[in-house]
Amino acid sequence: MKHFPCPKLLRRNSTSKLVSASLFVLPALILVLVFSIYPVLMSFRYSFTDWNGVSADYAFVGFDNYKNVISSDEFKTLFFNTFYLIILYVPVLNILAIFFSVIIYDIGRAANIYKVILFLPNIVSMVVVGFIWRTIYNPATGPLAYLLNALGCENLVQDWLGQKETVMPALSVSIIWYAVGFYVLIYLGGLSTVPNELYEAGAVDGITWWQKLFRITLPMISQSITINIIVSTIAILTLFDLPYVLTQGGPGYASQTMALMSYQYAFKAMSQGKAMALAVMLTLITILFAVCELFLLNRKEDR
Amino acid sequence: MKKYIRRISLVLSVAMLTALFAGCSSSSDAGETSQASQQGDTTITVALMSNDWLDAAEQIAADFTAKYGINVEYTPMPGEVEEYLQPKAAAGSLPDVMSINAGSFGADLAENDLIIDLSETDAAKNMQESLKPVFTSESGKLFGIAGGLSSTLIYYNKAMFEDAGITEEPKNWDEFLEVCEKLKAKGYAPLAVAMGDGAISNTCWSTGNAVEIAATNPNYITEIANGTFNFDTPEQARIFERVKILNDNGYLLTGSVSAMVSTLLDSFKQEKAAMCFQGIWMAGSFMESPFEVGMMVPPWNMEGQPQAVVLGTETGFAVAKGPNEEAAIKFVNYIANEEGFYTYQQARGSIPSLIEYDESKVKMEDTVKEYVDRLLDIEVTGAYWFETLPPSVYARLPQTFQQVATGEITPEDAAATLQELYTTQS
Repeated sequence: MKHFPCPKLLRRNSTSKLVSASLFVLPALILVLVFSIYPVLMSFRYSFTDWNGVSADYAFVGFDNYKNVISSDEFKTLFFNTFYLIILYVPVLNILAIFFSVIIYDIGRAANIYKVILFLPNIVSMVVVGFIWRTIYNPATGPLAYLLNALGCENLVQDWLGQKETVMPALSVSIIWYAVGFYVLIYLGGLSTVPNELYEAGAVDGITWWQKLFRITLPMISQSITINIIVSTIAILTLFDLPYVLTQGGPGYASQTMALMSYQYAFKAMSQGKAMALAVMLTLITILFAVCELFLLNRKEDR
Repeated sequence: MKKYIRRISLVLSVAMLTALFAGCSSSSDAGETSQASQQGDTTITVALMSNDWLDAAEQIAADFTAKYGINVEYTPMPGEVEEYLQPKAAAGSLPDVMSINAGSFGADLAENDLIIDLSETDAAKNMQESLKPVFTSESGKLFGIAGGLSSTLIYYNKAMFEDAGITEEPKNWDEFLEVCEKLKAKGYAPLAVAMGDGAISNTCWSTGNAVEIAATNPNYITEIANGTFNFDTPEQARIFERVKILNDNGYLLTGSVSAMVSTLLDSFKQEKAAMCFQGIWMAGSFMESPFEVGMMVPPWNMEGQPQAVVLGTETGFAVAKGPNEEAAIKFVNYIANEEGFYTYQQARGSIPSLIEYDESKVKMEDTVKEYVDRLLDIEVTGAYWFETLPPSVYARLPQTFQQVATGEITPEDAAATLQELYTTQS
C-alpha cells in the first residue's frame, strides 16, 4: 500500500525551503546590489551630469557628455584601436591557444611543464607584466635592443612604443604573452572531454593529423571555443591595466582603449560625466558584442 | 532535524546580514570614536608622494610619533597626487594628511570643505608670501603648505660635453641646437626627455611657457583663471615646436616619445644621453652619479629673448576636514616647519620655502647651491602647469606633445587643441 504525503505538509515544506534558500541568498544579493548594481545605475545617472568628481554640486546636462565624447577627435582613434585589438587579438590568441593545447595534449609526459610555462605570466599582476614589457621594449637599455645590436641589426632598434605604426602590434604581443596560458587551460579542459574512441576510429580510417584536428577536435571542443571567444572579446574591450602601464595610451592616442580613456576623463581631466558616458557606451558595446557572438557561435554549435 | 536546520539557517543569515551592515556605520559614529580615542591613542592617516624619499617619510612619521605620542599610519602615494586623491575625495575617505599640488584641484577640495584652511597654522606663518596665491582657493582658503621651491633644469654629463668640444653652456636656443649637433656628431644621444607621462609638462611645457608667455604677459595666470586667456597663439605653438625640432633632428634619445620619467632618469644615470631635462628635486640623486654632472638653465629663449625659468612650488601638504584635524595640523607643522622639515629637505635636497629656518641643518651640494643662486637671479619666472592650467587642458598635454613629436599634428594644431579644451572647460 502506498503512502502519499499530505498536500498541506508538502506546501509547508516547500515554503519553508523557499524562505531558508532566500535568506541564504539575501546577503550575497545585497552585496551584488550595493557594490555592482547600484554603482552601475549611479554611473548611468552621472553620465548625464557635469560632475567633476569632487564637488557636491552638479547639474544635469542631458546628452551633452555623449555628444562631446563622440564628436571628440580621439573617439575615432579609440574605436579603431578597440576593433583593431578585437580583430587581431581574438583570432590570433585563440588560434595560438588551440595550437598549444592540441600539442600539449598530444605530448603526454612533459605536458605539465609546458602548462606551467604558458600559465606562468597569468599569475603575475598585469601591472608587473606592463613593467616587464616596458623594460623589454626600451630602445636605449632594453634586452630586445641589446639582442638586435648584438646580432648586428642596429637598424631594427626603434622606439616600438613611441611610434604609431608599431605601438599596437607591440601591445598585442604583450597581451597575448600574458593571456594565452589561461585560454590554453580552457581548451585543455575541452579536449579532455573528447572520447578517445573517436580518435581511434579515425586512426583506423587513416585520417591525417590535420583531418583529426578539423574533423574531430575542433567540432568536439566548440563549446570551449565559444567560451574563449566571448571571454577574450570582453577582456579586450575592457582592457585597461596593460596599456596604462605600458603606453598610457600613447603616442598621442595611438594605443588608447575605451576603458583607459574613461579613466583619463575621470581622474585626470576631472570630468566624471564624460567618463561615465564613455563607460556606459563601452558597456553597451560589450554586451552587444557578447550577445552577437553568443548567437552566431551557438548557431554554429547547433549545426 | 529539519526544524533545527531551518533555525540554524535563519541565525546564520541574520549574522551574515549584521556583519554586512556593521561596516556601514555612520560618519558621526566614526567621529565620536575618533574623538574619544584622540584623548588616549590617536592615529592619523598620512599619504604622501614620497617615491624618492620613502625612508625619510617613514623616519618623519616615527619621529613625530615619538615626539607627540600620536600614531601615524603611513601610506606612500603611488602615481600622481590628483589621481590618488580624487576617488578618495568622492568617497569621503581622504587621509588626514596628504600631499597636495598647488592649483585648481586642491582649490576644488578646499571649496568643497574637504580640506581645511591652514592660514592660521605655524607652518603657514613661516611660508613665503609669494608662494601662497597658488595654494589659495577662490574664497581665500590656504589649502596647502608648500614643500619647498622648485624648478626644472637641464643636467649634463661634463665628460661628454668635454669630449664633444663644448666648453661653454649654451645661453639661448640656437646655441643649444649647436651643442646638440656637436654631441650627436660625436655619437652621443644629446637629450633625454620623457613624453610618456606628466614629466614633459613639468619640463618642456612649463619652461616654454615661462619663456614665451610669462616673459611678455605677467597676468597670464589670472587670465587663465578668468577664462579670458587665448592658447591658440604663435607663442603657444612655439612651445610645442621646440620639441618637434629636437625630435626631427634626432637630438632626443631614442625612446623619449614613449619614455616615462623613471626610464628617463635611468637612461641619464647609465650615460645613454648627454643631457637630461628634469626637476631640481633630482639634483641630490644625480650628484651621486659616478660621472660629473653639470646643471644649466634651460636655454629655451631665442636670441634676444631674456632667459626665463620655471619657479614654482614643490608638492605641499594638506589636512582633511575631520575628527583628526588637530593632530593632522601638528603633523603638517612638524614636516613643513619643525624638525621633520630638515629630515625631508636632507633627503630631497630641495630649496626651502620657509621665511626662517636653520641654514646649518639644510643639506645642499655646492653645485646645487651655486645653481640656486643663479636661478634666483633670473628675473622672468613662470609657474608649473598644475599651478595654472585647468584639468581638462593639463590632462591632454603629454598626448599633445607626443602627437606633435610623431608628426600627427602640427605645433599650431596643438595650440588650437589646448584652446578648444580650455573653452570647453570654461
